Amino acid sequence: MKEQARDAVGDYRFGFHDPENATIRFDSGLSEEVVRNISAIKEEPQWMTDIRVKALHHFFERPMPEWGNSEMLDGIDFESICYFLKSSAGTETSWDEVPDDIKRTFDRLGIPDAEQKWLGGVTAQYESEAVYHSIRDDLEEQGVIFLDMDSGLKEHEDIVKQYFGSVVPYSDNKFSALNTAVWSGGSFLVIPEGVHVEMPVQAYFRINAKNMGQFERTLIIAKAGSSIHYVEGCTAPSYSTESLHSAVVELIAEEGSHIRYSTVQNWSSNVYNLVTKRGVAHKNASIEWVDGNIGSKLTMKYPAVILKGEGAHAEVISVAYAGEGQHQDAGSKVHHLAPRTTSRILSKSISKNGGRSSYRGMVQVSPKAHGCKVSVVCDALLLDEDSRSDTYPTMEVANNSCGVEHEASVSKVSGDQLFYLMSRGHTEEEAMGMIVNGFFEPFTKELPMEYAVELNRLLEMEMEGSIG
Amino acid sequence: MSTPAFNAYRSLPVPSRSVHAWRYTPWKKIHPTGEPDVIPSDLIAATATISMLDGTDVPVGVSLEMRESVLRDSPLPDDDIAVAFLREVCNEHWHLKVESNIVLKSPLLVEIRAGGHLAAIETSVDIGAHSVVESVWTISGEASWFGFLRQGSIAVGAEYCEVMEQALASSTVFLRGEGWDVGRDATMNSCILSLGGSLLRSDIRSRIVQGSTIKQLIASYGIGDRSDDHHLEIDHVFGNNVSRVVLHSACDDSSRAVSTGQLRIAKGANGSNASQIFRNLLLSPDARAESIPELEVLADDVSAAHGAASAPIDPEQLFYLESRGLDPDAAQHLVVEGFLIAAMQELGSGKLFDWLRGRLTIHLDCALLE
Repeated sequence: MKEQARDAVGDYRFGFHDPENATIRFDSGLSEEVVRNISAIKEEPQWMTDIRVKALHHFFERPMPEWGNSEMLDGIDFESICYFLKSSAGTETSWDEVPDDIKRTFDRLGIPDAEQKWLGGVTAQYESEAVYHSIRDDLEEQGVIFLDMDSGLKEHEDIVKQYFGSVVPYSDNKFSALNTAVWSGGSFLVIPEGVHVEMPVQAYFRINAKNMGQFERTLIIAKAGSSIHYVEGCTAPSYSTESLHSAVVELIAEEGSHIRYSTVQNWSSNVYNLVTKRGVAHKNASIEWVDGNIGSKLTMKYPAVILKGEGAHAEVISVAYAGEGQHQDAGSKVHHLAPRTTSRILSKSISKNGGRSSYRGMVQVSPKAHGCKVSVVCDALLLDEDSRSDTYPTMEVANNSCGVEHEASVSKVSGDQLFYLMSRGHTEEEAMGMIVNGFFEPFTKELPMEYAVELNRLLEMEMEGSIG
Repeated sequence: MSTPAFNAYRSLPVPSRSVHAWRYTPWKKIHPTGEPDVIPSDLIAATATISMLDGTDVPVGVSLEMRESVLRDSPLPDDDIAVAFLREVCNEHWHLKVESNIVLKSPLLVEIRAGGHLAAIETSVDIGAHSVVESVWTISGEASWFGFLRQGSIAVGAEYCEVMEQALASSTVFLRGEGWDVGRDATMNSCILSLGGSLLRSDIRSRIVQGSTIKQLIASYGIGDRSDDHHLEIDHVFGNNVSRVVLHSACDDSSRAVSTGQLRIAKGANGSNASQIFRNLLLSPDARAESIPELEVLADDVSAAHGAASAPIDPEQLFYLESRGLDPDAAQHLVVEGFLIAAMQELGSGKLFDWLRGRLTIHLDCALLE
């Protein structure tokens, strides 16, 4: 029995779970009634209910994507998933008010500790809704709005109505339709003109229940000349049954603003992670996606930037680690619509123990995007002969004054590098770990220090036993 | 009419844009009538002739004969709609055979001519074991639609090098399907100079095994509203082999270059070395280039890389040439010529390289005079 549990949980450090103490739990399955009930519980305005219902019908009508890992996608049983589970009476602003069992979970994940040390604000989401939310007083005084999305809709309906679905419409893809129909939780963040939020704000998403679907919706609006660094982390217990995480993130970077969105995705290996993330960058604005994918069963995530204003910039740095039974199908999309826009995509992946990693990317240069520059680099490491790495880049260039470059390589860890490190006294396992950490360095150096240390530790754990 | 090929074509669905190889040139557009259900009955067979490039007699052991079409195991998938269609409409099958252990001193010259309204031809090439063969292929003619199906095999230890000048009339719609098997320790180097036609869709797929080497080089020059779509796939079925794909497209006016490719290294094919480079030179504000160089790697002890780049001519290169007295058009043609020649550099045959380079120079000079 113990061994069975070990097989299921493996070495996943966040695979623990607490007993379910749901205040509201919907029956499994998806219907218009479920969608209307979610909207009713949240006391949403009619326009939001209408969008949800429209999106649901679109989801039912739209076929599963034919590209990607169809075999795994076809394994999702939408009827076995619970689409709404509320574990707390409300969103608290003090950890003392959060129910004990939930607080214990976030204590073990180190969130309250991190908040005190280096964060400007925190949203902690447990199952379908945020259970804790806070923002530093000085940021609030400067007019920064940082709320969970449900509160955002209640308190700033006009802003949400203006921007909701403006970057990722429900008709964008099957999973954005699903998210729009059943969304719950997520972050709502507005940074006023000229305000620079120096400390990162963080959202932490935790799935605790079995067969749970988490569908948070995040909307970040950086007004002209402002800047923000938003960090999100995700974990879930390891169960033998599957859970679904299908988020939508919309970023709007107004003139001269800067948004950095960092993610360390560490779902357990029973979670399907099908996420749509997209930002619009206006004149001289910049959007950066720093995206780490370590966990999940199947990830399909392609953070995108639409460079709409002249001089806008996009940067995507992503790493993926695919272990046994995992497929990390990640990548990036950048659409250059305006002159003198620039973008840089750096993607790194490691496949081990039969894992599969894929880079799937698109760069589009429109006829009006004069003088734009694009650089795409993909590197993949294969650590054993059972693993697989794919690269599917698409470049569509319709302007003759731009420079578009793409390069990719797939290789194994160099014997020379291993020999060099081992000749200096390291074991083969240590040497391999150092090479892998070095391979991911362009990503980790962009993360806040605490996250980078945590990521390196995670990678070392994942690498354990990879030799011999 | 109910040949197996006919039934195969009719049973296949028209591929959607989500299919990698059909993303940019829809089947309806490249079909001779634009109506996928129609199989035209008025196609005439293109002609094929063989000679030696130096004017000598074709040696014993080398033959080009018409024969019954034979369905063979080929990297071309049977369920590809273009392949099934070409099998249906090609009424004549020309077979070029070179016996084993033949070493040719001069290149073969194979001339394909597509006349009439709609034309098609199926050819096959078999290079015998340990033979060393060079060949020049020319495709010309004024047909409004031309279908070309070619399948080949290079036997154990053979060395085959070919160049192909595609100089169809500027209004021709050209559909090409090719499948190649390169045997153990065999080498195949091929270079295509793609100049003619208005709408072109080419699908070339190859399989390589232990010790084999394949180079597929393509230089394409687009003017007017020419659209040149190349899809290249190389399957490393076993390891310890080398593949290289280089595709250079120069796009002028409102022309469009499409380069899609896939290098696939099968599980256990260790020691494979695969690379794929697509470069596009955009010469006009309305020119377009699309590139999708894909890699699928299922073995770990390999070297696999790909790259793609799209850019205009470096103004410094033009400035350099103009400062030495060339007018802007001549300077641009010189840069374009150099760019296209760079795609042919790795051909490995001086004779064939010189021949192809000469054809390119003539073509560009004529274009400059126009």
